[in-house]
Amino acid sequence: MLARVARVIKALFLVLASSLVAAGCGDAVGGESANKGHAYIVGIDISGSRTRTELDESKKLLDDLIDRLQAGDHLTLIEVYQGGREPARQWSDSIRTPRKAGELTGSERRRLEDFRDIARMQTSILFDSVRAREIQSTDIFGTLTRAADYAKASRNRATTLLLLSDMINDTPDLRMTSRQDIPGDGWIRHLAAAKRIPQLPGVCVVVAGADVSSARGAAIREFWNKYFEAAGTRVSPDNYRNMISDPSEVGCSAATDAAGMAP
Amino acid sequence: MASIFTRPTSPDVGSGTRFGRNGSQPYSTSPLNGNGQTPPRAGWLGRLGQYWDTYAPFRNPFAKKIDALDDDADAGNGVHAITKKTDYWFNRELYQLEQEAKQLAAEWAEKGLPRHDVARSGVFEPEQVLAMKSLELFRQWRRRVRVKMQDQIQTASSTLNRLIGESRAEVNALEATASERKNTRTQIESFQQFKEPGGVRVGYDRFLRSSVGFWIFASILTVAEFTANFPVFRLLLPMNSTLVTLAATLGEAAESHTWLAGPLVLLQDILLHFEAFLVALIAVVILVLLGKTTGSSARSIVAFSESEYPMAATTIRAHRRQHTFVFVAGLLGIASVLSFMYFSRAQIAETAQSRVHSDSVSLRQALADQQAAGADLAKAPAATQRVKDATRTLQQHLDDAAYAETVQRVNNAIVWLNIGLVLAAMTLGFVYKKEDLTDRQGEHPSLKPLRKKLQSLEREALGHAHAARIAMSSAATEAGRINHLLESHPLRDWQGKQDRLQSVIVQFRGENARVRGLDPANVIAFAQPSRIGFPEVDENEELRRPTELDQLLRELSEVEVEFARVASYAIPTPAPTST
Repeated sequence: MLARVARVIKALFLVLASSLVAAGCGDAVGGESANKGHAYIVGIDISGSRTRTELDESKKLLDDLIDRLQAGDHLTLIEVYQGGREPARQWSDSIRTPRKAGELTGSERRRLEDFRDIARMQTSILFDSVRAREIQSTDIFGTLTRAADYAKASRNRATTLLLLSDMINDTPDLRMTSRQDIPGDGWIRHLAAAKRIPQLPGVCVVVAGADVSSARGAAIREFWNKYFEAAGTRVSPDNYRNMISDPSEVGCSAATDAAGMAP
Repeated sequence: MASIFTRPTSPDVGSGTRFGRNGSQPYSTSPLNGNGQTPPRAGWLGRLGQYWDTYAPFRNPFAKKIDALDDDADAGNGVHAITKKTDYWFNRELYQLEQEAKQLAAEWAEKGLPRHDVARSGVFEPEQVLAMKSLELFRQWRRRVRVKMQDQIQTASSTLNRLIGESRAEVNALEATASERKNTRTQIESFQQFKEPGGVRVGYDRFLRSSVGFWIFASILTVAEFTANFPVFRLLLPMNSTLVTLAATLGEAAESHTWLAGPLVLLQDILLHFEAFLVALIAVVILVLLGKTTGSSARSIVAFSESEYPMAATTIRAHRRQHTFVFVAGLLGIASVLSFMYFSRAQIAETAQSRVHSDSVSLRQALADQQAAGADLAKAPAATQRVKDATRTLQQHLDDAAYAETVQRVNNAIVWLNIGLVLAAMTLGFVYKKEDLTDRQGEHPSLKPLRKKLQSLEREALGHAHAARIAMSSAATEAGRINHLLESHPLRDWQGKQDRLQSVIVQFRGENARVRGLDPANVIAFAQPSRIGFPEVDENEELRRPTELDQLLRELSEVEVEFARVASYAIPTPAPTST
């Protein structure tokens, strides 16, 4: 009798052990995925040169972009401005890569939702209207330098640099408040020769909030086109816009990538 | 006038010896060691002994003082014991007579009578009165002694008769016991030779013959019991937060498996709550095992009867004894496990509620941290994440608390379900039990009471033999006592009594003269002889022999002979000891 009971218990433990082994194998298979996600580096400019409407549009675009984030994506938020004695703030985080590409588990979905919520909260902090009144400078060059560093750290991820800015740099070194203040090609070449231009090869650059209708705006766009070329990338006309309503437009087409992202 | 003063006064009267004492003088303080000398005490040690005798502090005030020289203390049943009170009576009467003599002597002396210088022709009146009283006292003493002796002889005869009757009754009882023991032995021998007809099987088969069926039912019972009780253990043994999150995640992942989601969620739940799984599994397996074992033991207890298989009675009793123990232990185990489950279910609501309370506190703390983080980009995400986690945990435990309350409400119903499952397990054990006790070593059930009866009869026989011996011995003693009394001649001391009575007159004369300050020899009236004329007594006069004494002695001899005859076969002898 006892021997039979022992056999039954042994069988139960075998079933249990098999289940555990099966569960462990499943974990091992889903532990690493080929899908490495997308890296978004967002420069946020809430300087006084931008209107309230432009800021709301930028915030909405960023929120929509956050809603489109997927598991494995990486998001970096960088302040373009600098207020008071505080340096430009930044926040970077990523969503864990799913074990199975295209099949999100419950925890992965929940983690994604948590990430989106936290990112939206961080966005709200960065778009703080109170802090906007304290802004003393708009350092787009410094933002690009920091973005280049983040882009290098993104490894093989496809990286998009989204600049929510009017692209008017306003630092003591360089003020683009008037057309005459916009540097020429020589200035860019000088910087390139001195290797002072951050390199953004393979980075898709998208600008939302820039002035594209005025002469000054055109001059500024021309300057940045040349600057980005010197930085190893390019901004297509479709990606240098005053407003992007659809977050799916934040990105570069394959043809553009092939044409402009090669170093 | 007939003179009563014809015999001389005993010469011992004035010497202070036993025969001379008349009650007017105290006992002498003569030494008692037989040699007439007071035993000397040696030096200071002797004086110390005297002080000890006088002032010893440890004397028992209630102890009966024993005089080593008092013969009356162990009077026994002899002549002395019979005549002791008569002697005492005689001495008391004599003392009163002597007092009366002294009183008369004083009264007469006051009157100056009798005149010392005048001779009297007749007997002096007071002396005549005293002489007559003495004579009457002597007659009464003689009659009393004879009557008492005769009464004792008759009483002894009656006792002898009774003892003979008792002896005869005991001998008869001994014989009857012997006869009954013989019958009992015959019965034992016949039962020992009893054999059951060959080929009779002592055992039973399974109602449920299929082993596969048994294991299927056992598995169903185990699974049902486990399924019913595992959620309770899951609530009793909470997981840590990591496992809670993982469990929730896996549960959501299982949604994609559509119709397999239920079993998968349950399986994942089981594997994640491994402690609860182990405890629940062990408890359920133990419960089913106890139920099955108890059911099997119940069948072992009720299936066999000594009356149906008398030759296997011993084996059946031993078998039943063991299974009764297992049955009782199994029932206690089942009761313990069910009680544990019942009381656990009764308190899971409180346990779950306490977790909810704890989670609420954690959530409030996380919210406070989130408020404190404010617009800090570094701290705010972590604080927000903690708020989300705490909220999810609280929600999970709120669900658990609701479930626990439901379980608590239906606790009694679950108990009945558990009892039903245990009864099912017991039934399964009952129907799957088989046993074979054919290889038995028993004996006929009647043998044990017969052996007890035989032992009791042997004890009774020994008791009867002992009582018969005691009764016969007592009867012989009583017969000897009768003979002793018949030949004792209790009037042998008549002369001494008469001498004591003679001293009454002498005492009267001496006292009369003393009061008057005269010498008795100077009183002429006292010159006459003072002897009282007592009648002669035949001291060898025989006491009357009881008419039935000879018959009783014959019967006693017969009983002794009968006892010897019966004892030769009726008194059990001890079993020979094996060396």
